[in-house]
Amino acid sequence: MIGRLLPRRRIHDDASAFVDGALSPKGREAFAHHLAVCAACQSEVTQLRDTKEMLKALETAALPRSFTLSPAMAARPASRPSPTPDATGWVGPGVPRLAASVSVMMAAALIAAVVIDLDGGSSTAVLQPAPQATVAERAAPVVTEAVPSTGDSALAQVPEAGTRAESVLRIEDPVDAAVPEQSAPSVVAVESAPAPELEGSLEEVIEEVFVAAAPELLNVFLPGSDGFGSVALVASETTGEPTARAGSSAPEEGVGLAVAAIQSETAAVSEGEAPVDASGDTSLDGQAAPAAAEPPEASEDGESALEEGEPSLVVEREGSAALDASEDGEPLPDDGESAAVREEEEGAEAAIPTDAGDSTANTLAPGNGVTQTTGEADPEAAKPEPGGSTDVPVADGGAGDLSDVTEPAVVGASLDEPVSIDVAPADADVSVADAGMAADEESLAVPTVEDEAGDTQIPERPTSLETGPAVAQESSAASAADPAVDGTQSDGMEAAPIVASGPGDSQREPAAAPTGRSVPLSSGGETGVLWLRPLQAALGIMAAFSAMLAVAVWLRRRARSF
Amino acid sequence: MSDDRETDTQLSDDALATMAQAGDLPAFNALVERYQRPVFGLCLRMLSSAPAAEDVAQETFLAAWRGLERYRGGSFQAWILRIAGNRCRDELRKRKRRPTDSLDALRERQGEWVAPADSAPSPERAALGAETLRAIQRGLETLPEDQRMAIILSDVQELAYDEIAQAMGTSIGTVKSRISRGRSRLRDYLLQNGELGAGRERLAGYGQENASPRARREP
Repeated sequence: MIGRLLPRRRIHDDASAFVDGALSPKGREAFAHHLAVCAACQSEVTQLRDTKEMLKALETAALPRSFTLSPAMAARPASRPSPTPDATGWVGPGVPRLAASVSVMMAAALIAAVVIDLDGGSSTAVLQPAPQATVAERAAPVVTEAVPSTGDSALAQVPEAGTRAESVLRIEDPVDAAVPEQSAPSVVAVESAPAPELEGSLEEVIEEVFVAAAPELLNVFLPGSDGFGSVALVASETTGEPTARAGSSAPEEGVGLAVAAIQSETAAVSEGEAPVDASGDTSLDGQAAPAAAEPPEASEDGESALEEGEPSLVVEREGSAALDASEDGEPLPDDGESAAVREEEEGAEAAIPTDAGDSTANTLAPGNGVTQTTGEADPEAAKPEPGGSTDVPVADGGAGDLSDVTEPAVVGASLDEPVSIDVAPADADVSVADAGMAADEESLAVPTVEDEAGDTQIPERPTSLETGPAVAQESSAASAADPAVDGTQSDGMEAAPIVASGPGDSQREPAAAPTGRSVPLSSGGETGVLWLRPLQAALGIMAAFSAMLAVAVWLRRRARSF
Repeated sequence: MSDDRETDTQLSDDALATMAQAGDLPAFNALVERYQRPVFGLCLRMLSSAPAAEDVAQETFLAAWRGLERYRGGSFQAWILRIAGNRCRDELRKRKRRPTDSLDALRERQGEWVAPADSAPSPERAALGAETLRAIQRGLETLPEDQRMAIILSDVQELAYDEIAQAMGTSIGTVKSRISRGRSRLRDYLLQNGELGAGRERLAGYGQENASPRARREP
C-alpha cells in the first residue's frame, strides 16, 4: 500500500536509511509496514545490510605510525609537505609566482608601448636619418608655405578640441600678392606638439617619457653627439599634425638653428581637402606624418608650395639675427635673461613678447624686418585664445627695424589685409632649442611671466623641460620676427603681434646664430604607432590573463590550505 | 608529564582545540591521537594506498595545526575529516592527471596491506578474507568520490548522518542520497563478483588484528 504511494526513489532511499536507522520514528514505522508486504524491499534491505557489514571489516586497518606533530614539524613554515613533487595541485609550486612575474612584465611592456605610442613613434623616427635640406633650400633658407590667394582669409586650421595640438601660431595673409613672385600670400604657421624626441642618454629619455604624459608641448633640448645638440619641434601625433625636427648643424657650421614647422593642414583647409601631411600625402588617419621631408619650394617661381601639396614650412635662414644678437655664430650665454631684455640691451630688432598682456609686440614689417613695437600691441589680440584667431592690423609700408637683416630669404608678399594669428591653447608652446648650448639645471627653473599689470608671476606649472635657451615664446617670436619670415611677408606687411604662449614658458633667448646651413629635418612619423596598437592590446590581454591566473591559483591554494 | 597527558585525554575536543589555538602543541597532539585512526582510515580507503594515506594523513594534521584559528567549535572530528577528505580529493585529481602506478601494482600493494598477517585462523581463511577485502576495496574505487566518502564515513567510520554532513560540508538529505546510491552500487558490484553472500561469511573470522604493512614487516 505504501509502496504504491511512495515513489521508487523514495523507497530506495528509505531502505538504505532504514538499514542505518536514520529514519524518523514515523518514517520507520511506515517503511516497516511496507517492508512487511514487499518482498523486493525485503531482499534489498538484506543485501544492503550485508554490504554494510562487509564494509565494517575495512575498519580494521591499523595505524602505520603516530601522526602527532613534533615541535619541529609544528614550527615549520606554511609550505605544506607534499607526498610527491607535484602534489600542490594542477599547477606547480612556482606557477603563481611565475604568473605574477609574467603579469608584471607584460604590464611593463604595455606601459612602454603606450609611452612609445604617445610619443608618436618619434623614437623610431629618430633612428632614421633626417633628410637633409637641399641646396635650393640653402639658397632660400626661408621656406614658405604659401596659400593660394582666394580672396578669403586663408583659414587657419583651428586645433581640434580635445586634441593635443598645443601650440599653433599662424600668420596668415589672405590678400593677393603684390609681386608676382610673391603672388602667393604667405602663410606662416608654427605648430608644435608635445612629442619629445627620444634621443640622448637614458636619463634624458626617461625624463622625456615621464614628461610626455603631460599634454603640453615639450621642449627638450638634448645635447647631441655632435656637441651642438638638436632642436625638436614636434607636432602632436594625436592630431595628425606634422612633426618636424631640426637637428643640429654640423660642428663646423657653428650653430644649430631655430626651426619653425609649418602646419601642413593649411593647404587642405584652404582647399577643403583632407589634411595633408608633411610629405604631401593626404592624411586620413589623423596620425602624424613625417614632416617636411622635402624642401619646400621657394616662391621665386611663383608657385605655391601648397598648391603642389608641399605642406610644411620651415623657417630657416642664415643670419636670422632677430633672435640672436651675435651673428658670429657664437652661442649666447645662457644667463637666463629674458629675451626682451636682451633685445633691449643689444639693440636687436626682434622682440619676444612675454605674455598675453605684454606691451612688446613684434610687427611684421613690409620690408624685410620685424619691427619691435612697444605699447602697440592689442591686448585682446595678444591674449592667447585656444584655437582662436586674432586679427592683427598690418601697416603698409612700414619699415622694419630689422633693416640690418642681411638676407631676406624670400620675397614677401604685400599684405593689405590683416594678418591672422592663430594661437593654440595658452599652455602650449613651441619648441625651439638652440644648438650648441649645453643643458643646465637652470633651464629647469620655473620661468616667470609677467601679467598684464607687469607683475612677475610664477606660472602654475612649467610646461617644458627646456634645457636650452630656446623657449616657446622665443620660438613663436622667432618665427614671426625672423627676418626670413618677415621677408616672406614682404612689403606692406607689418608684423603682427606674436602671442606669447602659455604660462610656464621660459624667456630665454636662442643664442645660436644661423649660418645658413640647412637644417636636417626629420619627423616623428607614425611608423611607430600603427603597429603598436595591436601590440598594446596583446600585451594588455596577456597581462590581464597572467594576473588572473596568479590570483586564481593563489585563491585556490588559500582555499585548500587546510 | 603523565598528569598532563591524562588531563589531555579527559578534556573535550573543544577544550583541547582552544588550548591548541593558544599554541599548545601537546593539546593538539592529544587531538591527533584521538582522531588519527579515522583520518588515516578515510585516507586509506579513499586513496587505496597506504603510503599515500600516510602522507595525506600527516598533511591533514599539519594543515589543521596551521589552520586551527579557523576552527570555531562544533565537531572536531567532522572538521578534521573534512580536511582529510579535501586532501584526498586533491590527491586523487593529481593521480588522474599523472598516473604513475598501474592499477595492478596499486591493487597488489593494497592487497598486501589489507591481507591479514598472523591473525587469520588459517592461511586458507586468511586468503579468502583478504580476497573479499580486495573486492570491497575495488568496489569502493568504482564509486564516485562523494559517494565513496559518504560510504566510508557511514559504514566504515560509522558516523551519524549529521556528522557526515558536517564532514562533507553538505546537507543531511544529500548525505542520505549519496549513501543510498553508493551502497546500492557497491552491492551490485559485490553481487556481480559473487562476494556479497559468501564474503560476509569469510569476513566473519577476519579479526581486528590486521597489522599494518610496516608492522607486518617487522618481526
